[in-house]
Amino acid sequence: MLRAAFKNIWAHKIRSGLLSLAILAGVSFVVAAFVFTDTIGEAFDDLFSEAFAATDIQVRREVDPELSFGLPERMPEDLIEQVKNIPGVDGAWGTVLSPYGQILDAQGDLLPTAGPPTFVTSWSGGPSQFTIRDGRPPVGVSELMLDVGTIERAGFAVGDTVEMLIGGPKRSFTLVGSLGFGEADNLLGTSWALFDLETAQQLLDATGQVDAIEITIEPAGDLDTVIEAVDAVLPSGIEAVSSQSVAEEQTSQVKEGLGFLNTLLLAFAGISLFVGVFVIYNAFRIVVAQRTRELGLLRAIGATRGQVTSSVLFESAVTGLIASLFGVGAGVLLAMVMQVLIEVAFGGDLPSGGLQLQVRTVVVALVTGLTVTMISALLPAIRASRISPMAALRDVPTVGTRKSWRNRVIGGTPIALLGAAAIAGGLTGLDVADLSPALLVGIGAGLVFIGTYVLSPLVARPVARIIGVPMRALSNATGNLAQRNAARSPRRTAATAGALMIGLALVATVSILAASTRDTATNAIEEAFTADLLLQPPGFGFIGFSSEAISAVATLDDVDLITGVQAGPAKVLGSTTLVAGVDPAVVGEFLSVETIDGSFEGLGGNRIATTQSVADDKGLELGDPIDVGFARTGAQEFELAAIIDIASATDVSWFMATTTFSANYIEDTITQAYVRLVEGISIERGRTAIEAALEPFPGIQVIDQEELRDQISSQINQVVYLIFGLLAMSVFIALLGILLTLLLSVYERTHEIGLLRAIGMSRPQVRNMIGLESVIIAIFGALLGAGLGMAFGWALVAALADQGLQLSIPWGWLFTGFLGAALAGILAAAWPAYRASNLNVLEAISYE
Amino acid sequence: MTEPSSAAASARGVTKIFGEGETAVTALNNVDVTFEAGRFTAIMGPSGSGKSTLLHCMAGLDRVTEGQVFIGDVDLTDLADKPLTHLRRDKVGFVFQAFNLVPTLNARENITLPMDIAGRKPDADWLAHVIDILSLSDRLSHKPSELSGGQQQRVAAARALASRPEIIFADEPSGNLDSKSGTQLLQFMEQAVQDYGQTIVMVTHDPLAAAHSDRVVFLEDGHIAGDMFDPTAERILDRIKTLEG
Repeated sequence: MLRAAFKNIWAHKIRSGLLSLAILAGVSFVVAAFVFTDTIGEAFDDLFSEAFAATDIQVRREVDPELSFGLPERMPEDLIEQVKNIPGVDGAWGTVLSPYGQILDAQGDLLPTAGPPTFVTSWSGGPSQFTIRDGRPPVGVSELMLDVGTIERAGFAVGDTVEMLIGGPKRSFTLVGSLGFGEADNLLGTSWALFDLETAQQLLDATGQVDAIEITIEPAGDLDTVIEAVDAVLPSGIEAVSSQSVAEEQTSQVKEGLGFLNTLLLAFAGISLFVGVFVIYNAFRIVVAQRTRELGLLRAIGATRGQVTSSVLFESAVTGLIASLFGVGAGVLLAMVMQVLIEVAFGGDLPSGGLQLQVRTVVVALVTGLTVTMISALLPAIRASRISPMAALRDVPTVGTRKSWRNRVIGGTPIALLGAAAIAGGLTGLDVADLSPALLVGIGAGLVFIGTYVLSPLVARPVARIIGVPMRALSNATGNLAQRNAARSPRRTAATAGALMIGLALVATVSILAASTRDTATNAIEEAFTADLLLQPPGFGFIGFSSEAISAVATLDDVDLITGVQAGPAKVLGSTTLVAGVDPAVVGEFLSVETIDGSFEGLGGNRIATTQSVADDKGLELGDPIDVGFARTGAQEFELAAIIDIASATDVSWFMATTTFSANYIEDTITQAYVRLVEGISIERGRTAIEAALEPFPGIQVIDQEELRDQISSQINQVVYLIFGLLAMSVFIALLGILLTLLLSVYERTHEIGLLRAIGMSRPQVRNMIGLESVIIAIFGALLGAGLGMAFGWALVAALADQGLQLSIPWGWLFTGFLGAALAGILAAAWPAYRASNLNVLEAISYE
Repeated sequence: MTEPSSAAASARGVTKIFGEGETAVTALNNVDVTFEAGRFTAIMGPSGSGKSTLLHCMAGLDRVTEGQVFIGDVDLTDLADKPLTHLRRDKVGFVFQAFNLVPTLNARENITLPMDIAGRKPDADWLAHVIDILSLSDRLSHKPSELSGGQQQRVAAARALASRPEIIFADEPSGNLDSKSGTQLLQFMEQAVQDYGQTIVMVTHDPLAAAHSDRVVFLEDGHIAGDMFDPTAERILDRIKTLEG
């Protein structure tokens, strides 16, 4: 039996190959996810070990790991002298560090970055992660060193003048040296500007303070003893740790950060595999049906049911294994491509090291691929074992019976409803079996897909007819035949379309969610936002701008009023979120702030305000204590002083006074500022005046409301296109499914196609017939998918309605998706259609 | 019966060789034959005599290795696939032994299929007449799977006739039918020739079937072994015995 299974795979190389592709794609995503994160994790491991190998001990502020999202409080620099006198300590150097620098290029524009920050730090003079490549260390207020990667990117040379923004207007420095990181020129796209300690302290507003002290110990010293001795002289809240453990901490932080990427990739791998299951299941089902006679014969000559089942399962296992092996290879390639793409996007080198293909990755890939394939083939295999030996003797037509239709309704409806309930549960934050809401929604969606898949054959026939109407108008005979072919086996059509349904449903869901977010935000701007102009930091808003810029604009004659908004991460009531610092007396002039309870204007000190929906959600009342944790100042207790309704384009829902914000954050940066012009001053004139005043602060964008709306739209569109790109993989697998089904159908209909050719159907007509059938299947899948996707999208938006989200249906995107599906259908049909049209007519009609 | 004069189809020096080199098989060897218009011709011969190959070559389903094939005055020999397909569609009708009908189409759609493919409207009166004489009126909306074997072959015959082709090729049309249905079908084909001047060429190995024709062409080992006009089953049987003996 096993040999028969092997021969069967070999005899149907094309089919097996296509099946393999359906699994391969998903497996390669899994492999790529692991290889990529392992590789980068490993490289950072090396990098940090090397960087921290230069020193032995680090003195730093003790930080609650849960509050490590920002800059901690600094320490007094006289600690350095104290530490130096401790026995066993060889040398100690203080450093300051801030990720909020910006470098200007030769034209005076901001040097573009795609996200990674520009660090401003001090050249300690002691051993460090930096190696000087060229020139000399900076001395005095007007000299700096930059990393080689940045120098090359900006086209600087040692001796040039370099302008930078560091918490104030731009300043000029002379580039006196270049440095690298061991062998590497660049650290994941980050830029590094180094000054002497005194200059760096002055630039970072840290006079007399340092962020860390680096210590080397005497060769004879014992590390642990020295650490203890150092720790003993440090005030509370400051600790001494080995450089080694700092390296490990940083590595694990990077790995944790990559964990998100890993999860994202695995989620899309899961979607691809899920679609693959549908494709493989359907293909095996068709193949078993086509092999009814053969399997009946096997049974007639004495094969047991178990043997028939295992022969089908074995075939699937071999296919799955081969596909997974190729998937491992494809995954490694994919990981390499991703690395290059990220390097291009971030404009820097990733720390290089060998690709990390760990045994664990290969095992996970093979087990996943094998399991998915065999699960998909399980039902068809059981069905194969039920074939009666009599089937060898007669041609059994496969026609759905009434009973199987009733079973479909009985089976499919509860699955779909259960799925819908799970989605509803997940969205309303129900706690079911300790599953996270996201996972619950995911499982629910999967169940809805399966339920719909089971039910969809019931509507396949009428829907195929309706879709076929315009095709019959287009070309009577071929259109008619195509539509009949699509409707002849509702199960097959529905099963094939089902795979496409998943991809399109997700596309539709994402579209609706994105469009709703976008329109809600832009509508809010239109309705409630009264600023004439807005000042925005450059890039992704990772880095704000100096409050000195606001002062510069406030003095203009054309400007009536300006206020800045700050935003930073904090841990509020146990979860990390953004909090805003606003001037409560003024912000209401620009945003419609309606105080529902308490006093918004009275914010200040440890008083905080939140929105009505958050208060309702968490059951908060005025005067309740609110625990807020900051990176700089640690855990603090606030008092809920106001509950408000605020229409704004941001999703921040906690507000404190600017003074409170400044007390809890080191970085004094503004993330947005609103401007009202003096009455009668045109927007354009105001803009020109403000831009002139902001000349010392390059990079700040001065935009009006329409531009703000455009910016929000384009940001959301970027995310949407990224997700579309990732979902393209699942659509591709679905297309493989259509291709497979059509190939098998063409094979099955060899006689019929031969007859059509004999009585005068031309080759192009045959191709059109297959192509149109494919389009019907694709549109059917697209209809199901768009329908489900709209329902999902609506449910998500409804669940977020209390955060002000309003439903928008992006007809343009949905229509494009539709058109794309139809085109993809034509594409998928190309090869089967070609094969059908090139069938040898004589062989086709004499084929047994 | 009027004596037919013009040739509906003819083969001149047709040789058909399958395969190459040592495995080459000569199915037709320098065959010259003419099928007159308005006549019902049967091609007979033992298995492997090349009778089906001759039919396939005559009907433009297969290419000859040497020689020429004509339908009317059109030379099929070097015709490209497209004009050949159009020729089959517009000038030739087919009745095969089995798998004659498209399972997704009902009887009426199967009958008009060649014209639908061509994008032509069938002649409604003629269509009604053909359906009537084949007694298919109450079966038109049935799918092939809902028809008996005899009905299926009658639908195939109706399809072949409906577009009034220059020639109909039939390959063992009654081969899968019981004798009553077979006789019915053959009688109808006879009638089509006599009453409407249709030209039919039929391959068969059954002397009873061949007896319905006007002329029997005998084929043996890929060449024409003889000719018989106004045959009867007994005369055919005698002739076959001679051929085999």
